[in-house]
Amino acid sequence: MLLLSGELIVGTAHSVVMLAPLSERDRGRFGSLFVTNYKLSFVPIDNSSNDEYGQRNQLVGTFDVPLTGVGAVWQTDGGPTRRRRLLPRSDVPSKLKGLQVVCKNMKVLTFNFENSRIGNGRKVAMALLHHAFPKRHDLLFAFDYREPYYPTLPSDLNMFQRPGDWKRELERCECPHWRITCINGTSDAFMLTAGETLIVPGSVLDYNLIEAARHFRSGRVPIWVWGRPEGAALLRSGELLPTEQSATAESVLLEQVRRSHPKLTPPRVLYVCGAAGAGASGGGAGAGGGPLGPLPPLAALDASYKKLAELCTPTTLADFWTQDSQYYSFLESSRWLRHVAACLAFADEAAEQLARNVSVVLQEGDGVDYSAVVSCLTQLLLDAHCRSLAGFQSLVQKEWLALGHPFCDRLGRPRPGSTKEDADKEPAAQTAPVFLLFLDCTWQLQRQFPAAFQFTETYLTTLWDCTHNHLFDTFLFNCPRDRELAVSKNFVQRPLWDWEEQFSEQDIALFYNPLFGQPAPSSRFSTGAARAGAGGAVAGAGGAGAGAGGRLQPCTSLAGVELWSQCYERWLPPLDAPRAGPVQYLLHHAALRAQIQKLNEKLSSLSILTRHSRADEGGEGGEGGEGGEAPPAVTRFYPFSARGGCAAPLDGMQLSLIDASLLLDSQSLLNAPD
Amino acid sequence: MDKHNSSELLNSDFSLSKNASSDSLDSDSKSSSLNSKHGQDSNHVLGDIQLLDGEKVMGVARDVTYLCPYSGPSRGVLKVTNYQLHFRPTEPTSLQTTLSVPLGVVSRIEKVGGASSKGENSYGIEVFCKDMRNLRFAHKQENHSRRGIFEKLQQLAFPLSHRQPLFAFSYSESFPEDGWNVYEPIAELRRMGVNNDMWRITRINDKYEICDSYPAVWAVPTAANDDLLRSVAAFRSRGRIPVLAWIHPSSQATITRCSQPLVGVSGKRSREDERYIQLIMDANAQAHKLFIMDARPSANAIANKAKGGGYESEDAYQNAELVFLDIHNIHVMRESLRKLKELCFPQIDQTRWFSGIEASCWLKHIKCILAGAVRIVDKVENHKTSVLVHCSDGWDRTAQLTALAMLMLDPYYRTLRGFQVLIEKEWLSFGHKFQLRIGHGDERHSDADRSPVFVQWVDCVWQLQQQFPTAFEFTERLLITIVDHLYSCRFGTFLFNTERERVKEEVKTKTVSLWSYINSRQNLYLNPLYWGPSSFSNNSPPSQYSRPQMVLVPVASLRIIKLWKALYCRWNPTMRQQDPIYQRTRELVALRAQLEAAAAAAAGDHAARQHRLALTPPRVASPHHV
Repeated sequence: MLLLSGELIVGTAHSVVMLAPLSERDRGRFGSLFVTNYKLSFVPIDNSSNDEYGQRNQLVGTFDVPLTGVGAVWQTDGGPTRRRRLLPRSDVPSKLKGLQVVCKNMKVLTFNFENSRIGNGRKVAMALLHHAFPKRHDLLFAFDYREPYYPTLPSDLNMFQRPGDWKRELERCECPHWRITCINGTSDAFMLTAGETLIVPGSVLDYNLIEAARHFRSGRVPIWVWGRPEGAALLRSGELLPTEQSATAESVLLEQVRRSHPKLTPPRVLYVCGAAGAGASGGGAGAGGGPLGPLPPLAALDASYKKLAELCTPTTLADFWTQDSQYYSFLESSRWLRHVAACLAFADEAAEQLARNVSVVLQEGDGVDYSAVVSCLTQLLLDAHCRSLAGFQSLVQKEWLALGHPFCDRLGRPRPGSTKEDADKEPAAQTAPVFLLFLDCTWQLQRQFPAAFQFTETYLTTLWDCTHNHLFDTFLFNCPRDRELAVSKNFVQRPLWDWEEQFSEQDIALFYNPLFGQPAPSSRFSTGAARAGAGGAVAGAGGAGAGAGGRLQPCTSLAGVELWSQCYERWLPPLDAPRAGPVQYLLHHAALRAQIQKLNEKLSSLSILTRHSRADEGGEGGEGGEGGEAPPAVTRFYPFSARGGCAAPLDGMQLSLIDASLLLDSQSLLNAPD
Repeated sequence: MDKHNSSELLNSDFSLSKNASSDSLDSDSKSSSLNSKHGQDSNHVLGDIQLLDGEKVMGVARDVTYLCPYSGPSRGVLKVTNYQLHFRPTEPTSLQTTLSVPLGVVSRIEKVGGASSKGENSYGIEVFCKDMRNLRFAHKQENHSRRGIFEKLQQLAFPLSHRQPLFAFSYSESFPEDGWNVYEPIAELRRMGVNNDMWRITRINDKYEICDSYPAVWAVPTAANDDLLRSVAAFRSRGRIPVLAWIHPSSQATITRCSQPLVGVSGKRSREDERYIQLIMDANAQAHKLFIMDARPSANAIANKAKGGGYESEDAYQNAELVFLDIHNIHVMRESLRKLKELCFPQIDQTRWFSGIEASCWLKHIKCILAGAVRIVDKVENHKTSVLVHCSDGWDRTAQLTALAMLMLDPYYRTLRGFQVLIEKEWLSFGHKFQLRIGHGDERHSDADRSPVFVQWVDCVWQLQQQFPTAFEFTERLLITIVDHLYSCRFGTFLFNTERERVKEEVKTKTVSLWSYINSRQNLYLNPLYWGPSSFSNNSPPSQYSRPQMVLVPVASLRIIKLWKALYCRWNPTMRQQDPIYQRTRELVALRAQLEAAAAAAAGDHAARQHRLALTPPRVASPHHV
């Protein structure tokens, strides 16, 4: 097993069987199970060529889980069926037969200790329960990781850490009527969970902001996040507090927003979530969200997600098929897709207003959750730059990190800065997969507009996996202030966006959508007909599925959204099948692009016409190039599935579990003549 | 809504005949909308009626209002021809354009409102369609236009009920290829290697005397003589004896199909039938067992005994194992699709979308059929065992299962041609009662024999396409076109119930085949991502990675089976696929073709000038990144 610098083994069990997912106790692999201060790691005795298949993380092995990715731990009787939840820091019986770990990315690992030395299983379980749920933030491994970091971030990535970064964004959006204030970086700071730089209407004074902030939750006055050269801007704010002057304070600020619009158009306030929605204030307010209504409180979102997770983590084949027989009821009762559709509806509504050159203020609770989701989606719909990989990462930096989405709270990690005692006293922070909701919505857009995004669903799924890898600082803090505090104590920042830290070139290539952008024929190649044809291709690609002005108009109906199969169902072997699924499109198109590139190269080399003749020619193999590059044969959940790990589910289970009479409305139909 | 048309732009260079472009149903999900003409042929006078060869305008009503559930009412002119119902708005907008509906899709027509009706647009007619939509028109009472149009529609939409011929017999367009030649039963059997030692071709049914719903040509075990066949026919419902559907090229395991045995309550047996089944088993040397897949739920199979039918008892049929596949009958399926329509049309019911899908059971039925076909495939492919498939009569569920299993087993049927052969063979020649199930030109809309059995099978094919995007030579668009013309009555292909009737009515000489039309414009239906046997390159060794998948085993799970929104929700403009993936693919494929041509030309050029090689030093080409 590979240990990182600073990583220590804290628990070991040998002769452990890792059961194949959704199998009974008869199938599995022998190996050793380790718990370190960074991860849970299973090392099989025998290597299988299948282990090389798919995505390989250089820091986390195929059978490793970073401790922050551990969701729930169960004690089992050795098989997958009977189980009892083990709570953090609880005691574990000495004769532990089996352990089941349900990861936050919905992977389920089941271990059997029956061949292991007595007590080994318990040791591992205790170590896991102790280290996977630390009480203090600075106990996370990132603080012990001693590897130096040399940043190689791409230059077009905007980290939104310094005032200059925001200036760049203002210039990119061509919004001259807004100004940068650094008041939030001084002792007068009023929006403690945001970074030091804020963008506000050009006419508003810092003093006004400080005054107004008292009337908004978490001091979240409306702040600029995006704008159009035509004048309309997108702002985010927190909910109004029920103070006497809050309505006045709001309308004063909204008036400043209006004045920042060259046409002096009053802004429209969208109440994304919260009590304010219905009764609230002034003109131009609207509930939005279409027929799906506003977004639910975070606790309800969390509950919704838990039901979804339950649906996606069956532990036995019997469970799997039972769920299958009532799949749509379960899907309905989780309501997750409703929330996804509602986010898209809000974003479409906001994009519609902005396209009409009306400024939009997204108002929500503390202004750090759903407003980030809707704001990001709105920008994805309107701003083609955000659909590039660098643009998307910049967007995450801006909306989620610089503006302080509380990742620790939402992902259920200890709060930075609070001591063990604090943690015991304070009420537990609300966990909720808000960022996942955003990734899911982004995936829906990708699916609806397959050529519009530079990145693939594999990228999004990987990003979700990485939010649970606490080696990187990107999703490690609640707000920029916490991060700065840690840095001042010699914490090494390690942005996630350096993908080479984790993945090979080959894996990173799968992050790029081959349908995005336009392939051009070689410029050296100049027969008229081909020019015209290529021109057509370029013209067609220019819109990349976007309507007028590059705006995407998604389908926001509940019937238009789907479950993100790759992210949620990739660990379910019965669903995996060779040459199946949308990943085939990706690989096929990638092969096409490669062929085009090869032909281009061939053409440019031919056009030189001066190369030595025969040997070269023959070597090219004539037309061999185009047929030869078959896309590799992969299974549905590539690059996440284990190849060959799935037996075709022909065991009749799927039929025997459907009671034929359930498919009937009434007996009379059964008895009708055939 | 420009984006919906962009897919058509690519196709604009295919020469569409004037008729093709006016056909509202020929297009894919994106444009096969109420506003189908929009964007297809802008040089035509917008919305002016385009008549097919043989089509005549039979009635016109002016000042009629079409009440579109999505874009609201629009006023215009309603025309009825012997083929279609045509509505042209007086002031066409991007949302309100021409509507053209073949009368074949009409299921029933009702008058709405009477002389006493008050309120705007409350007086008119409503047209209920077989393709999951209803159309409402409002007439002005004072114009007295309703009665005339209503009667014309009744007559022309239901010609058979008025002793008139279907439009297909008037339609006379000619196509470069005659689609009636697509399927030659002997040639198809030869392709599978019949005759061989074990199977022979027989013309015993040449006059359709043994079985009037079977084709003229059968393949049966060589060891079975004609007398035996006759005796077996007497023991099988409607004489539909077990005959060959498909034979595995290497293992010789077969799929055979038939109807239920006439067992009855008394449990009758037939030595001949038992011997014949044994011969089918013996024709496959690899296994000493035969699976009889009874498509029905066992309760239905038992119930059928009371009507003289039933199923094979394992006591009587040695070495046969009977499996019930639990697929419900035509009435259940009809009811299921009706519920689905309620959910999808006119408005998507978002409040109960998922529970509504569940309550309709449609996807569960699809799952059952897919799972049944997977079982057949598993036995044939993995266990080299022959399978006999039947239901009650062997023309509904049996056709679904055999055709689906063959599609999974044999890549030939996944080509554009092969798919046509499959439909001709398993559905048409083996007597799926299209006339009865669809009710072409028949006004008895509530006839209990109607059922979406074939559409359900097409849905299963679509599920396969979704699961294996590179396995089919054709796209979803072909499937939708087939469903459209299943109803349209423009082509003779899906008319009548049996081969015998089609021969008697001289369908092949008097009507045009749907395949003539489709094969004359096949570029519209080809899947640019197809990775089948033909895309094998001769000079690239077929490594295991590039070998196309010969057998498809779909996942029969509701997590993977999806609702075919492009078919069932297609009238709803908000539900259309926003940006069809194939558009970009076709661009890329076209670009590759250009580059290939250019490369070949340049290479030729190069070869020609080779002998006078320039002496200039070589330049270095910069790699060009795309």
